[in-house]
Amino acid sequence: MTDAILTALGNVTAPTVLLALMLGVVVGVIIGALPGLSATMGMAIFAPATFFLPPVEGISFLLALYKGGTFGGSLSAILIGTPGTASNAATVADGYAMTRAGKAGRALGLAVWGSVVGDGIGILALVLCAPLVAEFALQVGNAEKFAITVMSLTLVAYVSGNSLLKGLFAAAIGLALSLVGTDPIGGSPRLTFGVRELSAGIGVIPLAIGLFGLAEVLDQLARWRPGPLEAPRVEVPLLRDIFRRLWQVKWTIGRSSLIGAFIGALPGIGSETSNWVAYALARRASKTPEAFGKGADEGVVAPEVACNATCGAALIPTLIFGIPGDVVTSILMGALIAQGLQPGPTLITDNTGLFYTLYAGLFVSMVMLAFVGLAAMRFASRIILIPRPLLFTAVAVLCVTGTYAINARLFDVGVMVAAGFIGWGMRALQIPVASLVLAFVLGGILEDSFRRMLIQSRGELSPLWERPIALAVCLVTLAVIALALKGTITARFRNRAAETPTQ
Amino acid sequence: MTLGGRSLSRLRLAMAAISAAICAGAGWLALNIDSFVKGWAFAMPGTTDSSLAPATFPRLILWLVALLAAANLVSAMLHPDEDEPAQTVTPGQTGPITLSRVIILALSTLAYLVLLSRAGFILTSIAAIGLGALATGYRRWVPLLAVALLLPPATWYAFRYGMKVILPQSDF
Repeated sequence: MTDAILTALGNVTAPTVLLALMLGVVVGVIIGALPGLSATMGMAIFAPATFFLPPVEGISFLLALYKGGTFGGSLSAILIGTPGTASNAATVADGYAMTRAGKAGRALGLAVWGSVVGDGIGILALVLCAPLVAEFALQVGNAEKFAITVMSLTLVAYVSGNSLLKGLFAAAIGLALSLVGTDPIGGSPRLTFGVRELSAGIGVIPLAIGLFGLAEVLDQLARWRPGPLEAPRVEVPLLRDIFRRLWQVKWTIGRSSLIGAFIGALPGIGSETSNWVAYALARRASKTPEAFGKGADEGVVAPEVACNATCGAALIPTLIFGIPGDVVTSILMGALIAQGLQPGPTLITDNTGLFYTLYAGLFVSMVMLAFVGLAAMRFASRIILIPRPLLFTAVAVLCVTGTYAINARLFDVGVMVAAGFIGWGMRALQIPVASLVLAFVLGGILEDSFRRMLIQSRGELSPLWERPIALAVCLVTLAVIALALKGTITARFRNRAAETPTQ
Repeated sequence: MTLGGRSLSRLRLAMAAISAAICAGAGWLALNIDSFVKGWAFAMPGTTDSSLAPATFPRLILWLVALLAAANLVSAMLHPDEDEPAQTVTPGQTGPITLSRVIILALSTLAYLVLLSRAGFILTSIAAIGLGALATGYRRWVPLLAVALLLPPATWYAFRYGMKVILPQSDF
């Protein structure tokens, strides 16, 4: 183990790895800061480029981009009241209120240091839990894997938007798309409709680039109009003042970190959920809940800590079970597989050196995030002023090159473009795109575990209730479904009750 | 920002139409799945259970899609309109999505795809960035020309020499 740690330290201090980490953080912060560009989109566009790098540099770059992107979204949320990513949506209320009150610097300072603290706790959760979870994961059979995947799909649909039905619908389409290609057990082609290029299936990266990248480009270009845009002035605050304020909300930081890490460790849901949960609980626990929405420190710190704590923890199910923690890690999983690294319990035992290097890289990128974050406070207002039409047409070009680079096939570009238009339509119809992508990734795992379970049990479903872990996971899934149905029914009754007096 | 009632009704109709089409398509595929799934899984010892057939899982998923599409169709027809979700477009630079702009974007994307293999990446991308920005109403020539003329060649060379990937080249 000592050897592995020393090797990891040697690896992570290599100039190429440090450069990859720094580039990842910087690119991530810029992407996150631009409204419309998200960590998900950045990961999807840049993932193909990392296939040509050595695994340590490639994965380090993507992990750093993930963290930078998650933080970067807070810059535009605070400065112009538009979250750069869904992970920072809860930051808008109090962050933007501070900006309007001339305290943008304070809000940005709290966001930077809150993000760094949350990030550190998320990484600690990964480092401490991953070996334990890996031990447990080695005992997990096909029945348990199937049950966990079904639970992930349920959670994905549950938290993916206003409508459970639309979430389930999108997830089902994702599952159906994952069927295209080759039968994972028999190896024979299926649902390829005579198209030779489809025999290897639809790639997750072209699909993700289209659904998240091109769809956003099309939406932004369709809505953009020439108009004035002024960036607010940012007075960089004193570090001492920021740390004093953070100390005053230490319990909020602790609670939000735990919420972020816990939600991140759940397969299928990520920082889009944790930031809202942390914000709501911070408000409930606050002695001054009336200050929320008007520029409360806790209103900025809680969501930022939580969404960054989610990043590290989301790697637990991704790396150990091969079940993505959220949509960003599903793209990361695709990159790992392209690098010849199969996520699963044996990843940690077979690649101990790489694993420790990734841990070390995460800690180094946390420090880099602090410095880049502080620098970004000064430049964020200029980043936001980059003209949208130029930016998004350039992003469209990067979507094309990123997709083409995977297999040097124009067919993949066609898939990406089709996915882009489908994604744009889904946004208009309020169908959650993330559910589709996650279900697409989970589809292969679901089918493989389901069919292997049936083969082992000679066509019986009984392992699902005969094996205690599988049974427990099934019960949790049923509880989530019951909770979702209860929420839907209650909301409908409430709506009817609200409508009745006006009628 | 909320769309007008007419637009929302159109969205509901679109949702209903798409759900109906997906429901019909998935149902048809589920019924005819054996034609689209080739081969038979190797025989399992001691069983000929049809649940182990390679078409079983795809059939289950396709029926699930058809069922949820049908539920979505019913929901779109019965339930009241919902508010449009918050958009991430920069405030002060936002307008409604018009049909003309949708058509322009769709046609220009299609043209880009077709021209990419003939005119090559560099020429097609220069045209796409320039015309794309102009079509949205952007009129600052210096940054526009700088990005349009520099980004595609720079990307081409970065891929060619950095990643050893040759992006589509011109026939001319």
